[in-house]
Amino acid sequence: MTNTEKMPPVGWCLCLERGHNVGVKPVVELKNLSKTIGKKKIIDNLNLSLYPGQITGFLGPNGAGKTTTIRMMVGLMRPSEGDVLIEGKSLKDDFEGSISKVGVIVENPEMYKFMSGYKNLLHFARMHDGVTKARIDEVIAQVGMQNRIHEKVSTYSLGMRQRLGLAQALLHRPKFLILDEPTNGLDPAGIREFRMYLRSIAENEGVSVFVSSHMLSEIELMCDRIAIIQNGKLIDVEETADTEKSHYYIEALPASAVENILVAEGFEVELFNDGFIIEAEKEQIPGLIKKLATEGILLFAVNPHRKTLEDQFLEITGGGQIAEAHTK
Amino acid sequence: MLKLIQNEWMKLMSKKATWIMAILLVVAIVGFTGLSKLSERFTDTTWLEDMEADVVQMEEQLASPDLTDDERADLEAQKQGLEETIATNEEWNQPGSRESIIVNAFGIMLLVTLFTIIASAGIVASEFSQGTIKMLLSRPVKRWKILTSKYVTILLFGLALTVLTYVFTIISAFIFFPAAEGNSIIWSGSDLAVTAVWAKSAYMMFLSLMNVFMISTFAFMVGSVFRSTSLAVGLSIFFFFTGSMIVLFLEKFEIAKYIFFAHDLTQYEIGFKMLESNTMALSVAVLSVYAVLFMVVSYLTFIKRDVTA
Ligand SMILES: Nc1ncnc2c1ncn2[C@@H]1O[C@H](COP(=O)(O)OP(=O)(O)OP(=O)(O)O)[C@@H](O)[C@H]1O
Ligand SMILES: [Mg+2]
Repeated sequence: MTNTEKMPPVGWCLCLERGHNVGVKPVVELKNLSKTIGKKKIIDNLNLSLYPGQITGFLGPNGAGKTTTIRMMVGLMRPSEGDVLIEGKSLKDDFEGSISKVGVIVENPEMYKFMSGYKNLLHFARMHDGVTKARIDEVIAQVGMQNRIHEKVSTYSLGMRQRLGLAQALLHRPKFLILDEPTNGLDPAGIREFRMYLRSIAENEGVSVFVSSHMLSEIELMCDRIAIIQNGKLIDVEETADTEKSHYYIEALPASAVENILVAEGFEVELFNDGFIIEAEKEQIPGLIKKLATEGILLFAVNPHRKTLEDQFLEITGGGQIAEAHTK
Repeated sequence: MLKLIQNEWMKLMSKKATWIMAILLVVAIVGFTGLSKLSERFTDTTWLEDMEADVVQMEEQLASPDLTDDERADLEAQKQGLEETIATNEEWNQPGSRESIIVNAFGIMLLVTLFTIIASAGIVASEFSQGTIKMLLSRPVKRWKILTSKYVTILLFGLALTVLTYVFTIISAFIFFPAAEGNSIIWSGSDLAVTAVWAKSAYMMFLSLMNVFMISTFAFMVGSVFRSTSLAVGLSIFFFFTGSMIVLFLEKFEIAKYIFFAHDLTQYEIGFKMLESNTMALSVAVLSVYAVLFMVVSYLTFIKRDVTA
């Protein structure tokens, strides 16, 4: 599962999940993206393709390089090596052309606090072609800001600023949406609403979404696909569907006898709390219970076990510490 | 580009500080003009009349035949000194007229300079300190266009303040002062026809505006290179006030010619040159070179910079 997946060079991939057709062209391709600041290699040779209608999570411990990668994807930082292609256009050679389809929130959306939310949107709308007043109003309604939009941003709560941030990112109907820690400051209802909203623009408008987050459970709920980065290297890309392989938790005594039986039955056994975790198909379970019962084992529990992404994430990155300082 | 300038103007006008500056400017103009009217009423000119009486007395003495040559020369010298004092004071003490106020309108450009420096220093630097720079630069607009729109906005702001100054000086001159009595007023020690006042004053405002642009371009550069509004304001104001002293210090050296403070363009109209060798052509050339230099530095750093704010 932890195969260090390299995406194919010119990305035509099999996107079978969620009804994607074979051979969908990626919206965004990161190609050998690297960033060196001073002697530190902050981003090391990233290759990643993002597809329409898909929400890709970008996961990594503090200091892994998520924000730096995103800054390079939107032209705020210049890659030391490599390039970013958006709808086939190079960010390096055709900045205006490639970035015009991108909506982004880098870290916290900083707005002009001394102006109203509406004037802020008007300001950013003027920087894109073809964003009408009607479109501005539409977006304001989408993020539910109608009541407060003419008040100064300095009077907004954090969650309202996040909504306004999302509004400015959506104004020009981007094909590609990049969000760095987007749910920061939203209340549970807001997060839920936000998640539904992302789903709907991904599914209905075919927008490709790229979300970085610390909230692993969030990412798990939101994303179709997860890219994991550590110390500037992309260490894994996987479909969230993978994480739903069926595992079962079995609690029974005596432990050694149980383990022997399970191994004899051909299961891979993993110790977990007071019991074991096995990977098994649903159909195998009744047989297994019968077997354990006839062997005189005291059976306390057999539960489907869903390995959370968090477990996997910690497994892969080796704990929650801040990414090590790595000099090269 | 027009939309970008519209944006920058909207941001500038949405700031309270901008309006405070504009209001201060108007208050200062009306206040100064009013004050000079008031002070005129209380000016004591009897000492001047005394001096004039002394001169008349000396002339009588000189007319008497029983003076030695030495005494005569002494007296002549005294009389001449008195007459010069009277002449210069008459220029200062001529009753204020609309025309003399208007032609001196450029005096208030000191404030315009200050305010334009403040706006210019912040227009790039504040985007970094607010963190809004990342929202601004991740748009389908090339960076040089954004910087240009900011620079143009500063030029427009300087121009707007200058026009404001001129208009309000004229208004308050008309409110507080009567028209000049003769056909001429005294300006910078010489006579100026009343009819030439408009052209002269407008030209002076134009030259002062050029000075405002120069120092603001400097502030713009410091602001975009160091991303610090206060540093840019501080440095610009420091040079603005000490500039002429620096030139004075280095007067004896060739290099003084190439310092940009030696080239305040109004000096050619006031008739007081900072350096003997100065000519209008030289000043324009030196200032142009500086302006280009400041802009090149601003553009290069702004376009190259990795935005991590
Ligand atoms: N301008 C810079 N100069 C030197 N090092 C930098 C610079 N910017 C970022 N770094 C380093 O690059 C690494 C990646 O930083 P980045 O902000 O991309 O991490 P992140 O994954 O977004 O972290 P977080 O989850 O905390 O937001 C960090 O080790 C950071 O110290
Ligand atoms: Mg980050």
